[in-house]
Amino acid sequence: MPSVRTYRAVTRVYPPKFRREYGEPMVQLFADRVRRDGGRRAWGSALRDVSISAPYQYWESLMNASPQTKLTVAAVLTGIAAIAFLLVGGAILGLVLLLVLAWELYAILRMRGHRVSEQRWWKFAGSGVALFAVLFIIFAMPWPEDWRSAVPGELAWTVAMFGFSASIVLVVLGLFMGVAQLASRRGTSGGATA
Amino acid sequence: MARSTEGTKPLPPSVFHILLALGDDEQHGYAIMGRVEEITDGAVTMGPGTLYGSIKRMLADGLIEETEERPDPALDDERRRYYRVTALGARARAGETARMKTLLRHAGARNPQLGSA
Repeated sequence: MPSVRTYRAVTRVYPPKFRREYGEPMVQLFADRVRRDGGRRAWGSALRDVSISAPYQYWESLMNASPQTKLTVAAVLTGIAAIAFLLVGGAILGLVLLLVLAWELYAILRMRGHRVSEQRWWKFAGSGVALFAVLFIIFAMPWPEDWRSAVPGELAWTVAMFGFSASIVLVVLGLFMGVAQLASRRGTSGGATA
Repeated sequence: MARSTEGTKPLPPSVFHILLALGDDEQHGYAIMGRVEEITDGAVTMGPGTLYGSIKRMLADGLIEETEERPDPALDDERRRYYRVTALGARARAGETARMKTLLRHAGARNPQLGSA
């Protein structure tokens, strides 16, 4: 039945683990409903069902995921929200979200077992400053007008927004690492003298 | 790991519906769906995602279990999965039923027109 084949394709919107476990019984249940109620009624009910149960299954699988996965999802969502706010003009909230994003990235690195070493913190902060400097030279210097007009304004704005956001995140992430390293050094030296 | 739901918090409506629909029998998904429609006078129709999402949680909570036996293998599709209520599920169902009866009693006492219905 083409209707059942289509429903089988629709079940791909569910999380892979749930689909592996229950995909086949779900398709069979849908086929039974098509036989009983006809395609139109079965589809009406199935689409409502998918729109409610699929997001719920993602939410459940996220809740059962490891803290690192949860934090990674939170970082992706924070990044998207930060860029969205910066693009539509919510600069202050966008900057706050970038700071949150930097903290989340820092927490992910810690969870993955990265040690906060001296080299790493200045590498992050340094690359952030370097990126900021490059973007500043590109976008703020008085280049000839024909050079400027060669690049579409919207593209330049988007690149600048992403670039400056990334540089802020890198600098703040580096600073978080530097502060954590300083705190850990003080703790170690305090422990040694005690 | 099974979590005890007995005598603690109310069951979600979909879980209670499935426990009622299963009764003391072993049933497959389509039969459960049909039975839920029957006991709710057609007010509740469970879609495949909602039904198997609830079944997944109920299996994890130990309220139901999957059975290997088939009521009549000759008449049935071998691919169907059958479920039955566990002892914990039966206790949770009894607890929820008692909770509902108490609610109905209070509702009837406070609203005589409901109590006489």
